Amino acid sequence: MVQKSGVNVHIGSEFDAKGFKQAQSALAKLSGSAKKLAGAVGLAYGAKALVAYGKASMKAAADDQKAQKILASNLKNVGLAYASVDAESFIKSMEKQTAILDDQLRPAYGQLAQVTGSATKAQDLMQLAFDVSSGSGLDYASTVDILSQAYVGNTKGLKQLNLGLTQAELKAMDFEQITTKLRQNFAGAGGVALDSYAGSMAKLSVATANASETIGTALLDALIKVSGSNGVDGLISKIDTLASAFASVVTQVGNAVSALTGTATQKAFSPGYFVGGGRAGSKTVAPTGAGNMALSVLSQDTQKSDLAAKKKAELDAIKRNKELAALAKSQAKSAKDTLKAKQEQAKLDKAIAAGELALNKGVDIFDMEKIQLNAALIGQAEALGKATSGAQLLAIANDVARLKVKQDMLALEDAIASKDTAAIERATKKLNEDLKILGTLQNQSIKLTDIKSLLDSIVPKDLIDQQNLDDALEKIKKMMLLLAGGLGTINLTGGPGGSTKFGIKDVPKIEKLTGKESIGAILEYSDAVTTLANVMADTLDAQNYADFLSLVEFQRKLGDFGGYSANMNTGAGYGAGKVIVEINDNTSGLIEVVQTAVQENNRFGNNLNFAGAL
Amino acid sequence: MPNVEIRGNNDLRKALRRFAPDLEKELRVELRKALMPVVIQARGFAPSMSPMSGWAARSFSEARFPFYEQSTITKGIGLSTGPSKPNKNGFSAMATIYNASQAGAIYETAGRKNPTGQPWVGPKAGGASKKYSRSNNPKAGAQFITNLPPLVFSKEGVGRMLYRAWAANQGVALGAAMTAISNTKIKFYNRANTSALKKAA
Repeated sequence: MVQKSGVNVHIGSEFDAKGFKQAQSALAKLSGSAKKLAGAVGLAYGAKALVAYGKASMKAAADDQKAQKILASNLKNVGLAYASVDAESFIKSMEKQTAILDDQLRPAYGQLAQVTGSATKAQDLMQLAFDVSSGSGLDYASTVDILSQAYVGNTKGLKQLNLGLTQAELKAMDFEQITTKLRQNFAGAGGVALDSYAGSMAKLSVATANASETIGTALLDALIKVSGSNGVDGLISKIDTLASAFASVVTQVGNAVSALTGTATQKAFSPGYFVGGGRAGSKTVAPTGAGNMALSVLSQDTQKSDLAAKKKAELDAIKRNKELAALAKSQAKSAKDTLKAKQEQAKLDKAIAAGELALNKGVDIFDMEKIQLNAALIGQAEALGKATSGAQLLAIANDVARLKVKQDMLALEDAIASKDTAAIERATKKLNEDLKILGTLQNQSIKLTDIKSLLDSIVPKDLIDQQNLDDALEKIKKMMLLLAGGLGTINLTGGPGGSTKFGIKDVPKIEKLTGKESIGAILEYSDAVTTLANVMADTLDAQNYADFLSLVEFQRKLGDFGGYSANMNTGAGYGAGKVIVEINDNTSGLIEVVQTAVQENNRFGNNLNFAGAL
Repeated sequence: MPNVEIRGNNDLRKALRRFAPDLEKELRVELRKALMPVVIQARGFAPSMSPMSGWAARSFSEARFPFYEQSTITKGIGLSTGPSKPNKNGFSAMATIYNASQAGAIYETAGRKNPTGQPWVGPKAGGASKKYSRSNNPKAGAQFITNLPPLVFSKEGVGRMLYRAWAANQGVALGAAMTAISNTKIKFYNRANTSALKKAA
C-alpha cells in the first residue's frame, strides 16, 4: 500500500472497519494470553539467558584469543616478538585503568608498534592517545590513527584535535614537539573522564565484557546484589578474583588428573599442586620432574636473547627515527626545490613568451628583409645598365652575388622550417652554387660565364639581347646618315671612313657585332658608339652655329636695304622700315555678353560649376 | 444480489489482484489516465525561479529550511493508483495524488493556518515550539506569504499547486476515476457471476 507524506488528495476514500475489528480482536487475544505468557516467561527467560550467556562467553573468549595471536604476529613481524608478553600485560593493565576494551587496545598497540618500531614508544603513545581521545572527544582508535600518521610526518589529522595551530605550523613541528603540545593540551583529560559517571559506566562495560561481552544489565545488577559489592569497582575486583580462582581450580584439577592418570612424561612436567579438604586432609604433591623452569639454562638463554632483541629493537627504532627525521628534512628540501623549480619555470615561460613575441615581430622584419633584398637586386640591375667600367661591373656582380647568397640562406631557413626535405636539398644546392660564385668573385678571379649566368638570372633578357643592340646601332646609324644627308656622308658600315662637310675625316669604322661577343666587349662597343655619337653631335652643333652666323650676315645685308634686320624685334634695326602687326577684335562685345550671362546665372543660383567644385 | 459481495476498497483490490489481475491492471491504467492531467497541471504551477531569492537553492548553507527548487518540487508531485493504508479514522483511498516534497508542501500550504505568518517571539525566547516564529525579522512570515501566489480553495483543500489544479479540474478527474472504479467493480461482479473465479498464479 502506498502512503505518501506531504499534501495528498485521496480519491475514492472509504471507511474500512476491518482494521478496527482486527485491533479489537488482537487486543482481546493479547489480554487472554498475557496471563499465560507471564507464567511461562519467567521460567523460559532464565534458562534462555543462561544459554545465551554461555554461548556469548565462549565466542568472546575465542575472539580474544584470536586478537592476542594477531598482535603477537604483528609484533613478531616488526622485530618485537620479545615484547608480546609485555604487551599483553600492558594491555590488561591499561584496560583496567582506562576502561577501554582490549579489543581496541590490541589493534592500537599493533599499529603503533608497527609505525614506531619500539614497544616503549608504542606504550607511551597509547597512554597519550587515551588522554587525547578523552580530551578531544574523538574515539580511541581514531586518535591512535592520527598519532601514528603524525609520527611519519602526516600532520593532516592533527587538525581535528584543535590544537590551535595552523597546518603550516603543524608541518613545521617535529613529532616530539607535537607530543609535547598534546601533553600540554590534554594533560589529565583521561583521569577526569574516568572519574565521571560515563567513565564509571565504561569501566563497568569493560569489566562485564571481560567476564562476558553479552552480559545483561539486569544480570549485572543481580550479581552486584548477590556479591554484596560496594558499587561497580568492587564488583570488578570480585569478578577478576572469581575468574582467577576458577581458572586456578580448573588448572589444579587438570594437573591432579594428569598426575594420577597421565603418562610418565606428563607427570614429569606437571608442576606441584596442592590438594586440600576432604576426609583425607590436605596434601602437597611435589613436582615430579623439571618443575622450576626459570632456573634452567634454556630459560636463561631465552632471557638473554630477549634482552638482546630488546636492545636491537630499540636501536632500530632510534635509527628509524633518525631516518624519518632525515626523510622529513629531505621532503622539505624537495618541496623547496620544487618551488624554486616552479619559479624558474615561470620565469622561463615568461621569457619564452617574450621571445615568441619578438619572433613574431621578427617575422615582419624577415619579410622586410626579403623586400629589401628584392629592391636591392632591382637596384643592382639598374646599376648594371649604367655601369661603364669593368671595376663597376665587378662591384655590381659582387653585390648581386652577396644578395643572392642572402636570399638563398633565407630560402633555406624557410625550407628547414617547412620540414620539406626536397626543398631543403634544393635550397642547399642553390646556396652552395651561389657561395661558389661569390668566393670566385671575392678572389678576383672572375669567370665571366658564372657572372653571365648570374646576370642572366637577374637582368631581363631583352636589355642585353643582341637584337636590341643591333636595333640600337641601326637607329644610331640612321641618325648619323640623316645628319650626313645635308652635310656629307658618314660611312659607318665598313671601308675607310668618309669626311664631313667641315672636314672631319676618318670617321672610325665600327664593325657589326656578330652576337658572340662577351658582355665586356659589348659594353666597350657601346662606349665606342656613344663616343662617336657625341663627336657627331659636336660636329652638328658646329655646323648649326656656322649656319646661324651666315643667317645673321644675311639679315644684316637685308637691313642695309631697309628690310629685315637681326635687331628688328628689339626695335633697333638697321633700316627705317618697321613691321607692324595689328590685331583687330571683331567679337562685337561677345566676351562681355558671356560674362554677364555667367554672373546672372550665379546671382540667381544657377551655378554653372559642376557639383563639388570650389 | 451478486453471489460475491465485496466491501471496501482493500477487499476489491485484493480480490482483483487474486482473481482478475487484468482488471486490476486495467483499473490502474484508467485511474492514471483520469488523474494525470491534474498532476501535470499542478506541476505547471511551480514557478521555475524561486519566488524569493533567499529561498533559492545555493551551494552551501547551514540552514535546515528546504530550498526552493523547481525540479525537486515537480518530481514530488505525482499520483499513486494503489490503495492507501487506512488513516487514523479508518479511511483508505483507491488512488492518491500527492505533493510529497518538503519545498513543494511549503509552497503549497504556506499561509493556510496563519495568513500573516506565525506569531513572532524572536530568537531569544525560550521553548522549542514550532508554532512561533523565532526569526530575527518579526515580519519574516508575513513577507514570505506575501511573496507567494494566493491560496486557491478546492473541495479537497486549500493550496497553490495540487489543490489549485484540483479546483481548476472541476471534478472531471474525480468523476473519471470513480467511473473507472465503478466499471471495474461491475466487470468483476459480472465475471464472478458468469464463471467460476480462479486464483491467479
